[in-house]
Amino acid sequence: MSDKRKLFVIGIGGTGSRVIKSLSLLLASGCTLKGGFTNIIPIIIDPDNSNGDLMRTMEILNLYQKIRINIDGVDKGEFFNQKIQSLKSNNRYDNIDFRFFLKGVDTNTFENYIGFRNLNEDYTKSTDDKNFIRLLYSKKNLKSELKVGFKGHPNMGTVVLDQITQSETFKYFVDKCDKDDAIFLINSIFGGTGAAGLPLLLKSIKSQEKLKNTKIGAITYLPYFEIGKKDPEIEAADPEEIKSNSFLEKTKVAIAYYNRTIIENKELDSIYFIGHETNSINHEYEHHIGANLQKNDANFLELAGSLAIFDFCESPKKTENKPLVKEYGLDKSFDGEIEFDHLSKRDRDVIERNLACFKVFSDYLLEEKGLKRALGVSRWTLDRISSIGGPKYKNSTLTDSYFEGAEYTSSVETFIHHFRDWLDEMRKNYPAFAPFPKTCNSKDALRVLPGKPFKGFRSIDRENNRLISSRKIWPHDTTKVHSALFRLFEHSIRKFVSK
Amino acid sequence: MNQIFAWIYEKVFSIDSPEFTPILDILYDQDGYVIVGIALIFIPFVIWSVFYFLIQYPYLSNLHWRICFATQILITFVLSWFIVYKFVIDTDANTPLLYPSNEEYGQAIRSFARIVSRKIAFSNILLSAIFGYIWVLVLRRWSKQNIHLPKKYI
Ligand SMILES: Nc1nc2c(ncn2[C@@H]2O[C@H](COP(=O)(O)OP(=O)(O)OP(=O)(O)O)[C@@H](O)[C@H]2O)c(=O)[nH]1
Ligand SMILES: [Mg+2]
Repeated sequence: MSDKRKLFVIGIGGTGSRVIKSLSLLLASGCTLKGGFTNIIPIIIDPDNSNGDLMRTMEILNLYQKIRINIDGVDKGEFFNQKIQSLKSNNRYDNIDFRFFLKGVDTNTFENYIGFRNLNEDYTKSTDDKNFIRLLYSKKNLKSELKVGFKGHPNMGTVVLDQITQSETFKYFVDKCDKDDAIFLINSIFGGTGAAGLPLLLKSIKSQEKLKNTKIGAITYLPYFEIGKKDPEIEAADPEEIKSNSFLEKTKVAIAYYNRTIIENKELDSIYFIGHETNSINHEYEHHIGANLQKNDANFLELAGSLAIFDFCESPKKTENKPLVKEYGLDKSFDGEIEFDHLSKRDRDVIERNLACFKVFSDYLLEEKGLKRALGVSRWTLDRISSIGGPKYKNSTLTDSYFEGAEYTSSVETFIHHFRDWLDEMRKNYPAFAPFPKTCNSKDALRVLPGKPFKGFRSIDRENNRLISSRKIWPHDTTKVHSALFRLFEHSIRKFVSK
Repeated sequence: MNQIFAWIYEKVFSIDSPEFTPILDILYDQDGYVIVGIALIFIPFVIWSVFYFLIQYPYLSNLHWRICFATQILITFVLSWFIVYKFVIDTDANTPLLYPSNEEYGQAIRSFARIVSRKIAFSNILLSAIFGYIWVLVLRRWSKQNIHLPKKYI
């Protein structure tokens, strides 16, 4: 089996975007997929083109690529070691979209999309019938704008998403997917887009001769958040379409359907389920049916769900008949906040140290007492040292001009801000995920995990000074501007946090 | 060694004065010059080794370096004064010379002895600055934390 396998991660709907975001942040921190999957190709399918969560995920994916392409030689287990590609690009970074474009959803209402107007009122005089359509779709459905998604209506989703199979992009995808590659799908069962998209996509994939034996997995989200209510006045005039209290009912129906179809027909190798009781007190998501305002705080379940992908890559292809059905669970029950200790050992092994290292990395670079203190003072941030003799590489490239330059600020810095926000949001959300001490103190910043010595940013600077001219950092391709930064911190931080 | 240092102090810094040479003989005979000279080389070495290798504080600046430089000079200054004083004035061997029968001559020779210790100490300010700087140039190459200090002047 080749050791350069591709994994296509297809996120359908808002939940798909959010999980892909978690996945890419985990990959940035050094979490590594087993099974020889080195290239990850995320594909996002969502008619809600300007969805806040989707935009954020896209930005993170773009930044990931932009950073990774500028690091020379990353090894397994290091920050950014896995390659994220977009379907259309090969190896270059060209700011390409990760979205799967859907035709006719930008300006159309559902009514227009299906050509409702051209149908006949009277079935006796024609082969088609408006009334039959009215049986299936409410007035509101028909008038609904497609560009905000299906607002929780899978019955609309199935119709619109059916175009995927015929699209050029889908053919391209089938063409790209080689024998050893695998496909992983992500959706939620209680919305519109994701719920409709998964069965549809599975069917289209399975109908491709080339993909008959491809390893396929999926994770389906059961309800895990609640939606706030609209202002009562607005609500009276325009009743909300997405209601949390319909989530469970929709879930039941959909699961029964999945059982009858995709599981019964063995359309995939493994299917994962994840969900959590919701909490409407202080933890509702604001009411936005779609578009850029639908930007939800990160939730632990999205991280947990992306762990399914690690599990999926590791597990061998099933030869038995029935798909493997797995459900996510914690090892211990928790009270208030989830910490690493509550996770299963396997999950912990995948993320604990990596997240801790990347957290220290971002704290160091963002905190007042971290980088700001060292810049221009500590030896590792200075150049013009070679004037006293010795090899060239005594000079550091990580100077003020690097840290103030656009390459750094617009990619690395923005990325670590996203990482921080992600951790912060998961801590505030429900269920709260708070694996690290709350405040970051420059004096014991390295004590992110229990049992680590009380060491602060100073130890990082000291270690950086030792490493900056060492063979662990040099030689490297200096045209890749972030090489020095990542090589340096890879060694200095992991020395304290991960060993 | 003795000769080199004797030459440096007596000739280069011309602390010698033909009429009082005898009291300087003791510096020469009992390796006093060598001790002063070694102090002159050794003290900066110790201080700069501490600065460049022992101190692992990653945020030292030029100011710290200057303080260290001043300390080094001060220590050699005080120490060499003290050593010369011990050798020339505070010693039994020189008592006959310092307290001759001729009181007038005695006063002159004693004041010369004090001047000698002061002069050597002051010369050492310059010398330790030079030796110190040489140590800086040599030692800092292997320093991990402070290879860049002092930032200018080179
Ligand atoms: N009102 C409101 N609804 C939300 C919010 N976030 C998610 N939802 C809805 O919750 C349901 C499940 O979320 P997703 O998995 O993101 O849904 P989706 O697959 O994108 O499906 P649709 O958006 O319904 O087409 C969907 O109906 C979402 O539209 C929010 O912040 N406010
Ligand atoms: Mg949506």
